[in-house]
Amino acid sequence: MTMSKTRGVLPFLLGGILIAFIWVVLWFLGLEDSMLLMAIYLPPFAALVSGIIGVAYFGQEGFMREDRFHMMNLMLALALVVFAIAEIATGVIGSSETGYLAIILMQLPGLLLVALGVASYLRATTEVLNYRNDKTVASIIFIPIGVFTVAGAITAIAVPGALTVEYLVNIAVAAGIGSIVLALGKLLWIFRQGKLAAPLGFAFIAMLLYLARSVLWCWFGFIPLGPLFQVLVVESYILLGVSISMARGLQDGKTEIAA
Amino acid sequence: MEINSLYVIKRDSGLCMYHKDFQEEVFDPQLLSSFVIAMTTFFDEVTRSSKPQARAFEGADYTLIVEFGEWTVGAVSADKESQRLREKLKAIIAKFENQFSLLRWVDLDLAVYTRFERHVIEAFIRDRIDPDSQIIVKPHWEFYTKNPDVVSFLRLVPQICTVKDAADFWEIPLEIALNLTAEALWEKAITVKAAIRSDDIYEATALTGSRGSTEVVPPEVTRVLSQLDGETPLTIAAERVKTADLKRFLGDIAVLAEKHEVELVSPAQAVVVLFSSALQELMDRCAKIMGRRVAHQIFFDSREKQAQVYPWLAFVDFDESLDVEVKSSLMSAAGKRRITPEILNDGFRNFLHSIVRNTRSYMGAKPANIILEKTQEEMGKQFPRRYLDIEWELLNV
Repeated sequence: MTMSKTRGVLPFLLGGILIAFIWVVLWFLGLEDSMLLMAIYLPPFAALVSGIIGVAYFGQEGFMREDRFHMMNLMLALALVVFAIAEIATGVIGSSETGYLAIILMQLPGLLLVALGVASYLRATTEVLNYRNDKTVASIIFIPIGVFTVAGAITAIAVPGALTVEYLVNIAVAAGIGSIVLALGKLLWIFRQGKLAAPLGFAFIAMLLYLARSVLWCWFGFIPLGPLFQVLVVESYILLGVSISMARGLQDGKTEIAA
Repeated sequence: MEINSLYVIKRDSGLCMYHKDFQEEVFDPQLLSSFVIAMTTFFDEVTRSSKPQARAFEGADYTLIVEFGEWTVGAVSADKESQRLREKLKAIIAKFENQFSLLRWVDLDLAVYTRFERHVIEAFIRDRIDPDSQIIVKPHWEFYTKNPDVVSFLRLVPQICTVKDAADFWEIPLEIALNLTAEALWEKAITVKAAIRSDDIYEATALTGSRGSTEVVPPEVTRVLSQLDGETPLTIAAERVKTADLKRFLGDIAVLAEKHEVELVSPAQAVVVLFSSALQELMDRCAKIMGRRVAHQIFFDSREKQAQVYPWLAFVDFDESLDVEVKSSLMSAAGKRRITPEILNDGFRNFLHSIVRNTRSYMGAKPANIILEKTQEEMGKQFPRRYLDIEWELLNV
């Protein structure tokens, strides 16, 4: 990747590493107030910056139905803007389980945008490459639903009183994010040897971190909207920004002609 | 390869012992025989060679191919020279020398023309006809032939039909129909044209046609004419006019071709159309996965690289709406045979390969090869006979 192509990606990557580093340092030093402050301000900031940069680039040409790669990246960028609004609402509502439920519901349109973008790109890819479309789509939809439903049911039986509305909504959202992760994983696997693997890989890791948040809350007792919880969110927004910037680099960059 | 005439000449006397004009008479046979013998002797004298040196004489629109037997010289007037034609000529003079060996020593009437006819039909007529060849019966054909078999054969067949259709009509074995067709062609009662295939590309020469005022123009024929733009294979044109019967559609094209209202594009033009269709298919698939911008970059970077070797590739464009466009300058050069099909084939193949290699760098080898395979499949549907003219296996990465 040339310097011109990495120019947009490096700040995101360095920012992500720096935030993770600062978070670890603050955690070791036990400065919880500073961590909480960062947990409130950083997620909307990270999402908004990533989203606006993506929309500014991919939004220039609007929705191009025939260019699914462009459309997926525009959807991701728009989703980040929606996430930013939801994260701002987090600061207003405060950290509680009910607040977390409200945030999740506010983030749903964003997740829907991500799902639509990724699904349309997966569909275009499977159509062009003639993979067994129905089987792929069915497994991507039903595997996460099956896994999270079974895991949720076992937890509800094993832990009395765990079956709350928040818990059920979280399971459903986790299944949806799981589908997105699987779809991105499939795309990453298909294009693993090419340059497309880079943006898809970062988007995959970003959504995996996003999924981790739901899993940590449901099964590992993490406090929703707590500092450690929010670091995952910030990193996932930053990685989505990296993915969008890399896609932009691919769109702008010169192809290398093999001899 | 069009053959005009065949001559078998006695070497020492320059006498034409046998000749056949397959089309109209071009040369006086005795005059031509004298010329051939004079020229070959001249060259042998000049080069002091004991072995005959002359091989061919080029005219403006014909080539006179010469082959030497032990005591005869064979000459064929054709539109171009080919090794296959030379081999045939060698074989026919060997047969002549063998059958009429007595003529080497004495001049006798051995009924050469009637006795040798079968060999000439076999060598030069029969192999031009295949079951799908179009028989076009000449008006007043009965004046051309007195052969009773041919007369019976032609009496009831349609004016334009394939040999296979004629065999089916008469309920005779195909081999017999092929032989009768060859005899009818020999007698010049019919003309035979190569079969019109579904992936041939035709061009309308006149949308109004050359019909008389009393002749009714079926609307579907007018619709067909508007689709024959020199860039669309007949399969696609048939789809566009929503014809239910492809065979009948091809028959209509044969009628139009006979009336010179449509004509087959040149081989070079056909290569341009074949490859530009393949490029379009490939680029559509690439753009769907990598996006329009990357598809554009790949196209133009590949073209820039290949245009150093094949400058004419600069006339192949890829516009904003993802359409591969061949500029009229290149199409015209191909139509006027100013660029050979071989050069076009090489250039386009390298161009396609370069695109596939660049595609690989974006999506990896396997998806790039799958896209190529799907493109090949689609081309197989559009050009069922000619899609293998593209060496697909060389394009894999």
